[in-house]
Order: sequence, then C-alpha cells, then structure tokens
Amino acid sequence: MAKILEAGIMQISRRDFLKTAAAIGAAAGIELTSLQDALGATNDPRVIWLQGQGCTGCSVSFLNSIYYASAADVLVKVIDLEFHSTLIASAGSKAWNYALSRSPGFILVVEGAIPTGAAGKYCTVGGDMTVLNALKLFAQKANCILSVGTCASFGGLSAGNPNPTSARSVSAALSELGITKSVVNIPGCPVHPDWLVGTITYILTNSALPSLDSYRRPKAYFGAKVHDKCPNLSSFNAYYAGAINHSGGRACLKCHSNTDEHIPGAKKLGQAGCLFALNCKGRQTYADCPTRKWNSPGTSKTGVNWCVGGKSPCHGCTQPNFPDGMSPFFALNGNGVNDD
Amino acid sequence: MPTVIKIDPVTRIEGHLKIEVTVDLVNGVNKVVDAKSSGTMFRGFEQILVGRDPKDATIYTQRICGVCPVSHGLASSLALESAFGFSANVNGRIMRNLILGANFIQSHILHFYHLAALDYINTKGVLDMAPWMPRYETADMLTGSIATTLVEHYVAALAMRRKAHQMGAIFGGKLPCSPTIVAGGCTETPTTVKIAEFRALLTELRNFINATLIPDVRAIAAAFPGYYKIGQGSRNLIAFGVFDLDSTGSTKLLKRGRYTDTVRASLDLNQIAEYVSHSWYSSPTGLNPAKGVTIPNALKTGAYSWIKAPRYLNKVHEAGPLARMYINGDYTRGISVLDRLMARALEAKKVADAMDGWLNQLNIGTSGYTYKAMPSAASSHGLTEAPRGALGHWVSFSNSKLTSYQVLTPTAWNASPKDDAGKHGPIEQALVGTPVKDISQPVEVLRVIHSFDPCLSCAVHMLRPAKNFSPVVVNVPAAAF
Repeated sequence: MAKILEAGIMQISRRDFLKTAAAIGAAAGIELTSLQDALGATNDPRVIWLQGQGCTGCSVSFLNSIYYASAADVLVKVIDLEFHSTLIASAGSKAWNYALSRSPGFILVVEGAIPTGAAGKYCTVGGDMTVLNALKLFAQKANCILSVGTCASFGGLSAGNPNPTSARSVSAALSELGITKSVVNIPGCPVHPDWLVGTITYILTNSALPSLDSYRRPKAYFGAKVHDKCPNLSSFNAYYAGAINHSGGRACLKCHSNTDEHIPGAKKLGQAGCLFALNCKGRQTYADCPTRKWNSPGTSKTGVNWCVGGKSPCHGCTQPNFPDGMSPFFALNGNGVNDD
Repeated sequence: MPTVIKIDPVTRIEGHLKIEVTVDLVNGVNKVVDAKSSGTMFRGFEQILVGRDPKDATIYTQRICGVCPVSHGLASSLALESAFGFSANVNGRIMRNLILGANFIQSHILHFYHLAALDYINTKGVLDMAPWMPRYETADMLTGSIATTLVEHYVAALAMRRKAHQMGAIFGGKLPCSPTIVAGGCTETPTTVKIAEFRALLTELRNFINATLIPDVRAIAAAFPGYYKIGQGSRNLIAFGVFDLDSTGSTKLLKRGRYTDTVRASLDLNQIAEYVSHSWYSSPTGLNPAKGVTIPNALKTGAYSWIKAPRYLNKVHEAGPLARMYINGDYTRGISVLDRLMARALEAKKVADAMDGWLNQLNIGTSGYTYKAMPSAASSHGLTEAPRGALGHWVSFSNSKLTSYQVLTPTAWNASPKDDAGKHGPIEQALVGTPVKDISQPVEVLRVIHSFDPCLSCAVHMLRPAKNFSPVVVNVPAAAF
C-alpha cells in the first residue's frame, strides 16, 4: 500500500497536530509579540467553515496549500474540519444538523460576504437558513472567527457598488447583529493558502492570535506593501520617485500619457519591469506576494509566479477598498491612473 | 405514499444548491417521481459591473467562480476582443489554452475524487474523522481493499490538482484567478525554462490521468453498472466549443454544436431563450441573453430558484464534458450518470494530451499580448467552455463604460428550474426515475446530481436591471421554499 501521508494511511486517526503545527509555526517565522491579542484564540482544532456570498475561490486556493503543509496534512493532522459544504461526505440535514450540534469552542471560518438585504434571503446555506442567521448561531459558539478572503474580510466584490444585496463583511455583519466578538481578517481574492494555513496553525499552537494590523490582518503576511519588496522597486525609485509629486503634488501620469517618450518603465501590458505606468496598485497594497509568490511547488518553496511577475499589474486584492477603490485595474495611455 | 426529501445543502458541489425530490413507489420500487433544483445564493454581479471600465471585466468576472475562473476570464477577453475586431496572437491564444487546459485538468480531478467519489465509497476504517464523518453508509457502497485504494488515490489526487494549478500559474501568474488573461491576449512571455517546467508537470498529470483517474472511473462503473441507465435527463446536449486551434476559432479541439433529438446540428445563438416563470424574477421571460433583462422578486409565487431556465429551440439541453465529447464525436456510448463521469475523465486525457503539442507551438521570447485601442462603444459576445459546460459572456459598453453584462453559464442550463412550458431542467429530469433505497440516506440522488458537476456561483450571479432598478426588500416566508 503506498504511503501517501507522512504518518501512513492507517494512522490517520491519530491527530499529531501539535507537532506539525509547531513545525509550521517555526517555518512561518511568525513571532509572538507583546501586542498579541489573547482574546479570540483557541487550541481547539475543530473548524466550521461557512460559505456566504462568494465563489469558492478561497477554498480552492486553500487546497493548493503545500508551503507549510499539504491540504491533506492540514485536514488530517492540523484541523478537524467538521463542516465545509464543498468537502464533507454527508449532505442535507445529516450534514447541517451535525454542524448545528457542535459544542462551543470551535474556530469559525467564513468565506464570502454576508447579505443583509431581503432579510438575508439572498443566500441560504442549510435547512433554509440564511447565512446571516447561520453566522449569528455559529459566531456565538465560536472561540475564534476567521474571515477568509476579501469578501468575508471587507465585503469585496460581493459588496461592490451599488451592493444590490446589501452584502457586508463578517465583522460588519456581526456588528449589525450586536455580536461583539473579534474577527481575524485574512483577505485576498482569493486568499493565499499560506496566509490561512500559517495563521490557523499559529493560533492552534500558541492559543493566541498573531500580531494584527489596524485592519486585523496578520502582520506576518500583511505587514509590508507589495511595493516594498517588489523586485522592480529600484526601477521605480530611479524612474518615478523623484517625479511623483511634481506639478502641485500630482503624479506624473495624471497629466502625461504613458506613451509619452519620457515615461520610463513598462508602458504596455506584457512588458516586464516596474508596472507603475500601467496602474499597478503595489504602492497601496499590503501583502507578501513578491517574496512568497503563488502556487508553490513544494514544502518551503517559493511560488512559481505572481501577478507582477506575470507582467500584470497588482490589482490590490487584499485591501479593504478592493475592488471599487482599486479600479480601473489596467491603465493604457495614462487613462484613470490613481495616485495614492 | 409520496415522501418529499429536502437536501439542503447539497454538498460536494460549488456554491449553494438545494434539491427537493418526491419519492414514491413505482411498480414496487421507491423512485423519484418529481424533483426541484434551487440555486439559493444571489450576488447581482451585473449590476455591480455596470459603469465600470470594460477592460476590467476580465478581472471581475473570474470571481464569478473560483473553480472555473479561467473560463470566465477567457470568455470576457473574447467578448472584448470581438468588440474591436481583434484576435490574440499565437502566443496569446496558446498560453490562454494552456492556462485553461491546466484548470480543466484541475477541475476534472477535483470533481471525480473530491466531489463525486465519496458517493460510492464507504470510508469506514480508512477515514474515520471529519470531514469524512459523518457520512452515508449504504449497503451498495464499496468497502475493503478497493475502498482503501480509492481513498489513497483521493489523497494523491489532492496533490495532483494542486500541481495542475501550479502548472497553469507558470503562464497564468497565479491560480485561482489568473491576472495574465486580458483583452489583447496573455501578458506573459514564453521562455525555454517555463515551457520545460510546464511540460514536466503536464507529463506527471497525463500519467496520473492514464494510470489512476481513468482506471478508477472504470472501477466505479464496473461496480455500479446500473448507473448507465440512471440519470439520463433530457438527452439533448449543447456546447459552445473550446480550445481554439487557429486564430479565428473556426477550428476547436472540442467543437461548437448541439445534439437535439438524437441529431447533431449547428448552433444558432438566436435560438437561446431564458425563461423565468419558475425563477425569482419579475422581468420578461423568454429573452435572448443578448437582450437579457432581470429584475429580482423573491416573493414570486410558483418560483423556486434564483437560476433562470435557458432553453434552445424551447428544448431542454444539458452542457458539460459529455455534451462536448458527444458533439465532437469522441464519446457516444450513451447519456447517464456513468457516461458523464467517463466522458469527463476521457476529456481530461484528450485535453492534457493536446496540451503537450501546443507547447511546441509557442514562440519563445514573444509576448502573448498585443495592444489595440478599444472603441468607446460596442456590443459583443465571447463563447467558450467551463469545465462543466458551455459558457458565454454578452457585453455592451458606451462612453468606455459597461452598460450591460450578461453571463450564461453551464450550470444555468443544467440546474435550471422548470421553464414556462413546465419542462424540468436537466438535473431535475435526470433525477426522475432514480431509485432511492433508504430515504434517510438518499445517496442515489447525490450520485445523479454530482454527475453534472454543478457550480452554483456561476448559475446565479447576474442580474440585468431595468434602467430604474431599485432593490426589492422582501420578507420571504419559509413556505416559499
């Protein structure tokens, strides 16, 4: 019989999560700091994963986990995934009643935004229950709430103007429900699997939340701007930094088109190098994409590519104002370039 | 005595689906006699898109679905390119085909092992923990060494689908949601190294498809032969076609067409109509997607889904790998639950094998992107296929801002409710006649539903408001469901 998991297929009933989690935490280099939030943490590995208005992209991205641990390892050795509509074996009332009957103390993961229009009827999740009511029920019993992806963290695309379903982020929905529990936001459109796996593992290992920024995003992953670690930073500094505030504090591309001879750097999509002239949002976006990259080939390995590496400008998908404040995503001939 | 079984949520699909089946004794056997398929989530994507820069649509529409984002990015790019009478260069076309192919492989592997297989395997003694517990355990499920082997393959398949995404990201930038697919082609440039890395992963995936995926589907088919006669559905098939082999798209790896009343025929988009008699919309019924109008009304009596009912020539058609392979002449054994599973696996092989040849057609060092100025106004459409079937985007813009955006997805065809003539959608029709041995464990119903690989975020996402649309706030009584 082929050994698929480290522990071997016949030992998968034994949960070795602490050992694995510690290894993951060390690899993540996530530091315990004096600012750690003792509230909202847990070492109970049970996870209930709710999906609201989303696209399942965050779940698919989660399945791409390998840098810290494979998805199989996470499912078997790190968490007890008690409910996830896309993956669980049972269906219907058997699955839903099981979720509803879980005793308090689990981690609640929410993917997707929460619609509040039409009494929440724009999204029902099980037994005709709206995701708004489901959020209320599960949040009250959860020890720790994680908003996964930008829709859950900040509303994202689901709440894009004019927000026809009155979609809300998880924290905004909880606020409207009168539930005062803290939420950790792990945004991204979709979320990067490492950001999610690293954060959950940190929480379970330390029974504490990692250090968070003002948007409640783990600083380990969202502490620096894409711009700060971009391989094209020196080009940006050479080309644009001096000119960025000329003429009354406006960015040069407010007036000049990016086909002007004296605008350096990439001027057309498909050109490598600094993509500032193509409306790259790296200067406004916090995420470690330039160093971690995406779609890792193996344990502790850097990803094979990323947006800017693929010669497509960063579109700011981890930010609270994605997408409305980040559009237009592409600027050609200098139209609609945002300065920050 | 008829019994109604409500399955809410239907799990191991993408998105939010509720299925209601009525089961009754038919000639002494408990069978489904009626079925209702309900999409239960709605976002209002199109209203969200109105007023935005048309070029942004390739980024936005990929978020309609995180399992098939590439298909939406491609449909969007094709629609916009059609608006300015443009085709991507060879590199752009080929790289987009490769990224799309990578996601097809990912999706088909995910579907068989992680979404469908658990309907057929009792994992007792092998996987006795969440998320594989609780579970249904029926007498006909596989146990013993074949179950253990399939579980090992389920685990191996998790790594394989991850590698398929890794492969796609080489040209796609990242997956899910590829930022390199744009109107104008693909922003990446092929290099010798990228091609070699892509090919190495592709070879691994092709070996997995040949040595593991296809034999496993055959093993399920051998153990459950009755399912060649269950889940036949409407027996009509539709495909927009995919994987352009030339710059005009006139030759595709899987061709455009339909199979209506046992005859293969060509497609005329004007014959598509979307009916809303049983859908939560008060807008006109029977409109072509190019002129679609949608106004939600969650209180509408007689309606039971957020999904509309697309029909071709007023007949119910099914989309998906079986439709594509049938219309292309690659698979003609029949139409049923097992035929869908088999055609999907064989399509994965067909696409993966073709991708190896496409790598040779790339021009090293040339960008896949070509700039051409977009007009400020146009109406156009782009047709392609998602892993689960025919996909089309219809776009209109003026003053360089989107004025309407209509998306017709495969799961809209497949999971549609009744149309104005009272004809059930494909999944509903496929469910009628399905035997159900134990109404507390309706696994037979799940097998039929899963054979379609439903993706509900796609099926319900769009609304096209009238000019003076204002959201309707309603209180929906539970009985409405």
